[in-house]
Amino acid sequence: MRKTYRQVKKLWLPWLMITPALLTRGFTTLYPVLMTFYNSLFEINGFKGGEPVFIGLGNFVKIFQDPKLVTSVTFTIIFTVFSMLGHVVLGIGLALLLNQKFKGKRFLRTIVLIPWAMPMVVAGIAARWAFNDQFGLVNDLIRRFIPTFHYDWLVNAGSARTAVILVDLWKDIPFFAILVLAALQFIPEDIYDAAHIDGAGPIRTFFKITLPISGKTILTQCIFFTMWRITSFDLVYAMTSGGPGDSTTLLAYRIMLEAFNNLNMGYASAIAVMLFLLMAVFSGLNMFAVSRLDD
Amino acid sequence: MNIKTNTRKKLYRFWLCILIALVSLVVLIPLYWIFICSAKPAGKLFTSPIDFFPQEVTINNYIRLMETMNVLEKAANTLIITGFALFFSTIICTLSAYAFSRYRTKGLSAAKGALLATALIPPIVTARPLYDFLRSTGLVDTYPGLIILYTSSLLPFSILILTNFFSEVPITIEEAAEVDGCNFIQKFFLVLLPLMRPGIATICIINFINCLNDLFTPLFFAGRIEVLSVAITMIPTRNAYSVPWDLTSAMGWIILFPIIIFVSVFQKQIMEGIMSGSVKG
Repeated sequence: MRKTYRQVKKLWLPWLMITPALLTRGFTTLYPVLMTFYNSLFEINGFKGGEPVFIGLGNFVKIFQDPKLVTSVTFTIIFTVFSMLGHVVLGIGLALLLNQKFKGKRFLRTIVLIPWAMPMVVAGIAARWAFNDQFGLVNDLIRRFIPTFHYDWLVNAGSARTAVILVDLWKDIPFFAILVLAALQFIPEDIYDAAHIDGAGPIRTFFKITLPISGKTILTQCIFFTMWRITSFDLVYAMTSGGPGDSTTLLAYRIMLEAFNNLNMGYASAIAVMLFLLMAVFSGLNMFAVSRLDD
Repeated sequence: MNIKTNTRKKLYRFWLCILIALVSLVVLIPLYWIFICSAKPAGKLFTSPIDFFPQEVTINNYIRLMETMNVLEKAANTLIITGFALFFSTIICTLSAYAFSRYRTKGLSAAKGALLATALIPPIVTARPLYDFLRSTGLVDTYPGLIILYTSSLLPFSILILTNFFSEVPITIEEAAEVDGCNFIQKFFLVLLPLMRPGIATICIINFINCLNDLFTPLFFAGRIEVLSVAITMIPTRNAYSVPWDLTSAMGWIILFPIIIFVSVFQKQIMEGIMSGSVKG
């Protein structure tokens, strides 16, 4: 057996080496999280000024009575569920396509990397214009097939929400697909050859070989992508500013509005605490799923 | 039988081509559309149907953008902050990754777990207290402050990837260096780091893109120091209802063009980097 690490001696050395990382992360994440928990118990209003008032769980009670927050939570759930469905179906499809052998594979992989590499805010701002009724790209392409088509996507709640999800898929499916591709490439070729000789068709091969082997990786990945969807912020900031009304105000965007625009720091902290706890549940779920599937 | 498999193969080729074309078009058409919008003369931008192959092109929008928005200064800001963040994060992460890959104790693996777990804390949860904290230390809207935040955001993923890369360097190489009389510093810088060069390059390429894409940090923690990702949201409108799409599309293309070149050049390293994070992580 190859020795890959050494036995414990001079233990101060590794701790010294990780100190900069621990300090940096501690100050920029751990300390603020604790402060958010602390602040959530106070009424702090930046407009009125004055000292923070301790109100215990008052902010948390307010969360459940705030209609704006209900809208935010509803849309965050809709956004996450539909976006993830799209990610799984189209993402695995794209990964299978990228895994085929053909000329110009390099070219296609480069193209697929571009949406991942560009800033979400650029995609969002371009989308604000692309979904414009008269001069936007989307309606223009539709009108080439249905000449009389007219619809203002970002003016109605339902279609604005659809548009936000579509842009999210366009930007992020490539990244999902590349990660699936990594899992696919670990499946040895000879299993497919054996399946082919045994007369298994492509669909059967996919469900009986590809999916079971790469399933664990894809599942872990899905949990991470779900968490990123729940905390997504850039897209609606750039594309809809939460509108029309509050219909596309994702939870992270709502927290930002409360904390930096309405200056309700206590209340914003309380929502942030709820979001943090939700993330913790998902992380636990992730670890549970991984340990279960390892057996 | 032979003819049947032959037509099957042709059919497979046919559908493969269709799908490849479809994927390429879905990605490329919007990018091309942003480009032609930025290059159209003022009167030609708002036409329906869209003219995909305009007869006359102009760089007026880019010139106006340079004059009114000071784009070069913003690009310089972006590069300065990104450059320092890459430098510091590489040092911090190489040290940590070495420690995590060469020493195993319960305490160290707990520390590693904690470091990676902090990546899952949504930035919006920490934003407000972090802002107040940085303001009290005078670091808000300064280069050092922004560099610290950018560096910090790069740490968890980089440590994960670099630890994996270090684990692939056999310890016998280190032992050989020790036998030859290297002390720790010599061993680390003269033997290990050169071996790690491909891994460090990969992580720097991916981190570079992550830094360019970061909107959250500069949006909340900077005001005067504008970077490109924020600048595109700050283009002034003539009135509340008009979108300055001519300038926005030009700005978008200024951001997109280097990224497209960068991705084309480093396609292989980027794919490897992303994939090595997924399978072992």
